[in-house]
Amino acid sequence: MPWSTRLLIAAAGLAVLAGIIQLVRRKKLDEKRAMLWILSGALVAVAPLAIPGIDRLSRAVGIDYPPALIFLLAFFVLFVIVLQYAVALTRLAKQNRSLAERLAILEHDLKRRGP
Amino acid sequence: MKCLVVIPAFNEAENIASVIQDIRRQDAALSLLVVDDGSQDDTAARAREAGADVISLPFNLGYGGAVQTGMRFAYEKDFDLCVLIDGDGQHDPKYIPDLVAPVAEGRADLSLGSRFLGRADYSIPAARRVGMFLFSKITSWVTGQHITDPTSGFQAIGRPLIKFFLNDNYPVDFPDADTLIRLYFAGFRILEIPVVIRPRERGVSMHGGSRALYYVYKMFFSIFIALTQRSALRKEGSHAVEH
Repeated sequence: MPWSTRLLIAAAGLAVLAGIIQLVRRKKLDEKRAMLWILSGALVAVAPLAIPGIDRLSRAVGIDYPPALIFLLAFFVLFVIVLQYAVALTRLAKQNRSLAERLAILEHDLKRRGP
Repeated sequence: MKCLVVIPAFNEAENIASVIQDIRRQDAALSLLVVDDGSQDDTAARAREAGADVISLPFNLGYGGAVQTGMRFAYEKDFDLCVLIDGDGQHDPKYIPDLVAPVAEGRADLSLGSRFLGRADYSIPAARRVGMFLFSKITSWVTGQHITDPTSGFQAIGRPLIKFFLNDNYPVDFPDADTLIRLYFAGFRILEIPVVIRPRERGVSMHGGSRALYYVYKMFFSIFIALTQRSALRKEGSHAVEH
């Protein structure tokens, strides 16, 4: 892979990292949920250094076209991130329902008490 | 000086009544608030029976959420300071006056009960001790102040700092070295007070071993973020003190 391509990939990884850090600084993303994004940004940033290793690893697991291994890894990381959101979304939906129930009961009790 | 003792409690039915009685024995006039953090046991009922005011969260928000609920209550009810004390009986209430004094006298915005200036009557697991040592060193180095026990949950917090925390500055999971560094940059004064931390009477502690890796990541990343935010934190801190 030419050095210009490697530099481009590393720069893309660093840009992702900088974007995540900026989101955390502005309190739009918390440290917990930033963790997997930071991991993926860091992996992209260091990937150009590990190209011989990726080639060897892909041959070892029987993948003829090494970039396919990168796509597979990227797919796996995104799968974990999306799954994490599905779990968080389920929890939030349950909590939201529980809040609505409690709020409705509170309103009912308050109205009964009168103004 | 109005002082509120906040006791965050999650599944502490076995310990909560004796914690409340202990505090009452120390000072019967203290205002007490138990924040029941979505417990599945009888924590709230036992706390009410023991004579404490209780807020029950509809579901578990975690330690940070429970403490923040207590601080919001203290702020809205015009308390001048609040004392945090764990619901598991590890914190001895006889140190409450020692923690309150520096904040009430305006010598500090946060007083921290340190088991390392005082004594820990129980053995701390080796891995946890390494983490505590490392992050207390980092905190001491950044703040230029000797901090021995940044994980201590036995604290007294003055009203300006409560206001700062309520402005989205309190961590969602648990406050630690990163929180101390943030509030140091915001211009708040921290003072450590020697205390004795007792072993848990019953039940299990909230710090599980599986969280260790996340903990190390969270501390380093959060401290890094704080280091990049010094001027914004200073502005926010002075705003909280002025109003």
